[in-house]
Amino acid sequence: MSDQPVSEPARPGAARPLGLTLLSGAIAALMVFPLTWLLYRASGVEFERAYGIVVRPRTLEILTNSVLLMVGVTLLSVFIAVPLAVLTVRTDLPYRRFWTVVVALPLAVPSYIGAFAFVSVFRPRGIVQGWLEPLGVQELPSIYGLPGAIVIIALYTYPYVYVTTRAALIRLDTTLVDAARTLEHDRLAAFRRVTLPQIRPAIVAGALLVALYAVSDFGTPAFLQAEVYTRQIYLEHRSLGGADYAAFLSLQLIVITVFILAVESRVRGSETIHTSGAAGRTDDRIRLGRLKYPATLACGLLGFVTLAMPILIYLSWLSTSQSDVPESFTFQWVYVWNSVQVAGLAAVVAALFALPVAYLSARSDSRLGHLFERATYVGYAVPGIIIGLALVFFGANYGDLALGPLSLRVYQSIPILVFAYVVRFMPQAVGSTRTSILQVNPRLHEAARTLGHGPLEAFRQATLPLIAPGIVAGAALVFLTTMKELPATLLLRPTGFETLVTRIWAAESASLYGHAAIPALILILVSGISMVIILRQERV
Amino acid sequence: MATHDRDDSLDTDRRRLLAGSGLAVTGLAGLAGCLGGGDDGNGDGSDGNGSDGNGSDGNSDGNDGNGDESNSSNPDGEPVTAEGTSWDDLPDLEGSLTIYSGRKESQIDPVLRDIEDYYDDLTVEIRYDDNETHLSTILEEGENSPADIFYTQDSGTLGALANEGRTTSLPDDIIDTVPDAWRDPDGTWTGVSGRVRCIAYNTDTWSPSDLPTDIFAYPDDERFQDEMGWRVDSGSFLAWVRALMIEHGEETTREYLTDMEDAGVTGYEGGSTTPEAITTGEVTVGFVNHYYVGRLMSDQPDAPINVTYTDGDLGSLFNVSGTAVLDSSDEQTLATNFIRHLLGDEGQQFFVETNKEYAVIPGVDYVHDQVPPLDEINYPDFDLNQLADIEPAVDLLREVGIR
Repeated sequence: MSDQPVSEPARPGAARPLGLTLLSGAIAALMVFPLTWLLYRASGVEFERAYGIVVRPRTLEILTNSVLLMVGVTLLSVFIAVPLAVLTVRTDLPYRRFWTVVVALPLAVPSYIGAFAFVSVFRPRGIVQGWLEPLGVQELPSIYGLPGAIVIIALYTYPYVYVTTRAALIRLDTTLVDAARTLEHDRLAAFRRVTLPQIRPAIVAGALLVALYAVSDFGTPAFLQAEVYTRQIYLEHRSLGGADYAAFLSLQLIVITVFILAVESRVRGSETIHTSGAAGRTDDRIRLGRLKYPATLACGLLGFVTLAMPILIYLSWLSTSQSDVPESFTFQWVYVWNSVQVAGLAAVVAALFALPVAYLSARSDSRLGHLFERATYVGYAVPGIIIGLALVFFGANYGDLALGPLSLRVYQSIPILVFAYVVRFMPQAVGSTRTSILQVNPRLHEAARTLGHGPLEAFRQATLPLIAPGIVAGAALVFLTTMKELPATLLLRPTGFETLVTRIWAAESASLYGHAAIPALILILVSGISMVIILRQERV
Repeated sequence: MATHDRDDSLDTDRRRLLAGSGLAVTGLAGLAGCLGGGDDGNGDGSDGNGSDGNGSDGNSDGNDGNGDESNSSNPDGEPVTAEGTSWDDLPDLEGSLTIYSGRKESQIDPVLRDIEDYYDDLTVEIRYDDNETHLSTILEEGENSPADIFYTQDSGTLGALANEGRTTSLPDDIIDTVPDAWRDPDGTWTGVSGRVRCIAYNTDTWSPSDLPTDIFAYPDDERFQDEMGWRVDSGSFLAWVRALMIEHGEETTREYLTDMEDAGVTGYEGGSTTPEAITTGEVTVGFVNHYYVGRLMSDQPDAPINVTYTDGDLGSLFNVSGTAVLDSSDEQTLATNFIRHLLGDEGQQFFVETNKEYAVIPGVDYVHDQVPPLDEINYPDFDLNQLADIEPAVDLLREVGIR
């Protein structure tokens, strides 16, 4: 059986896809593999109990809430991000570069940090209520629950859509827009008929990341007491005997994820838009006229609410730092180094893994290539605690690798931690890499081949330089999200290995906010720098 | 010394220590010492030099100074006793120990590090996470768990670990030092510090006389509509609900929880969130463990918050935080000796002075300006061992819609 592929005479053109298909299949399998743990856990449950778990009334409520959260966050993100992208790329908005950075930066703020700031400011008897007290406002409407969670998550995840849309707008062939304009279309019609179809794949790619992030985000829904899958999985997981429930809820979440991925494949639409490789002309920006004031104000307000507010609150905590606190809460630079180190490793590994998967899926029409690409997204939608526990199981029980004289204990080591991050965040690298491959005309590769280069060499010389910014941007996204990840970090890190988020977590769970401030501010700073790298890469 | 005075107060103390257990412990001491030192071969190195001889003279010299360094003169050491045993007299600790702690780093790191610092050749690795996450982790890790000690915030997760067969027997001196109700009847885990559920209230809004001393009076009282908060995500809360079920039956408990929900109780997450919500006036009454409030009162003396207690009902349930040694541990002797240090004089003092918790040995007094000593609280007689099977409480909370 196994020698069948070998016995088949390989045509020169088919040789590469076979190798590439096997490689990306292996990577996809590796990414999905930890989730088999859920099946293993779920299979240990008696049928009757399992049935009871799946059909309990609460299930419908959680499902509804989760779908509402996801749809709400995604729509809101698109509504915020697309106009912002148009505004900062295609118009003469004053201080455009500054605003570009400002509106992209919320991604650098972990949503739980944002949520924390939001709640202290806007809760029924919070800071804002205090300001309004003299006006007779006794209590603000509750920020808790689903609507609050939707708004806060959207405010910290819309940059996924913003970044991808912005990149597409930069590469947009504006001659087409000009052509539409000469055909007497007004700006809006030209946007809808010419621009939108071109940037749609980019919007959808960003929206997918937002949607899946929304269903896998734990911190914000938990903090705002929105009853969705992640919070429920966490609560069950924290209830003794709740492991079965957690496993079944996670499987339901995966079913939803697969459904979203299928829907996204349909919405994506035609993708074979190769801009000539030359960036679109950007000298013919839309003049805003008087609209520039409200536009600037909107950007400023968004920046204030999402960035300045949490930073101010953390700064204010810094000044209320309490004494009589255990020594271990003292800030150490090694936390920064540890965070950067594991996030950097995760970024590199994810970029390497993403390349074959993205290339196959972008370049060949094979269903397998498509399937493998989709498969890498599943881990992204599963809460970190589930990936973490799965790898605890595999790592502790099968993690002793004996390679001849070398024996390696993987459990609670950096490699398994990095692997968990890659499983969680690889889609960000896949998406970004894939989009950039789509924008490169395959004829370039063919041309290089006709010059006598082998397929790998042709790829290296013709395609790689053009897609490198996309790969780097994807890696930077992975870096940024890894910096923020908490549950898997807590479960899988080596004992005593402390990162910025583990210190924020320890300080906040002890209400030692003053000691959470420095790591939180540094986290935002370092993530902010990587955000700037992402934006630079796409300036082409 | 002071221990003699305490013997008198023992009878009136609500901590019912078995009469004469102090004497029994002394008798068992040598035995426990032999078991501790002799059974494990050369693995942990705590008996480097002729354990036979040291076992007997360990008792005779309370105040070392036999020419050795003060900290390493006592490789086998004495057993722990209810009167309090100094770390000096306990067995030396040497080697590397991994603790999975469900207790917060801010509360517990100092005492764990104190013990580590006390010995030159001891390394303590601590992983902090939630009790339940640790429990799941240990169960997933199976026999390959790196953990030697599991240290939790309440007895429930320890009971669950014991039910999974993953705990190992503790020596008699430990078991005899800690009162029956505060440890595993099979002797595989022990409480090391105590906490009482209390009613925390905003002092600008209420005076203690306003507040019912019956936990069931709250949901029906108009005055407390939308004014109450509790922490729903802790093992303590689960254990408490389970205790209600055991004491009052499932139906009454369900009714009570539903009534509380109808009265608009806010479910908070995180130990100090409720006390903080009380100081800001977000809610004005909270049902929480006393020591979170005690710590907040120490940190912010001006905060408008204080505690009161119900009278003999589960509103004042006493529960323990505790420890167990894992069956899969390679360092069982070292782990056991580490627990002896937590039960030793300095360890117990730490819980009282720094954490505002109660000691589990009678030999240590409770001193705090506002929070009363245990003997002034009429906490109910409740056997904590009943709380190991927590699942009914989880199911009920799920049904009622609180979790």
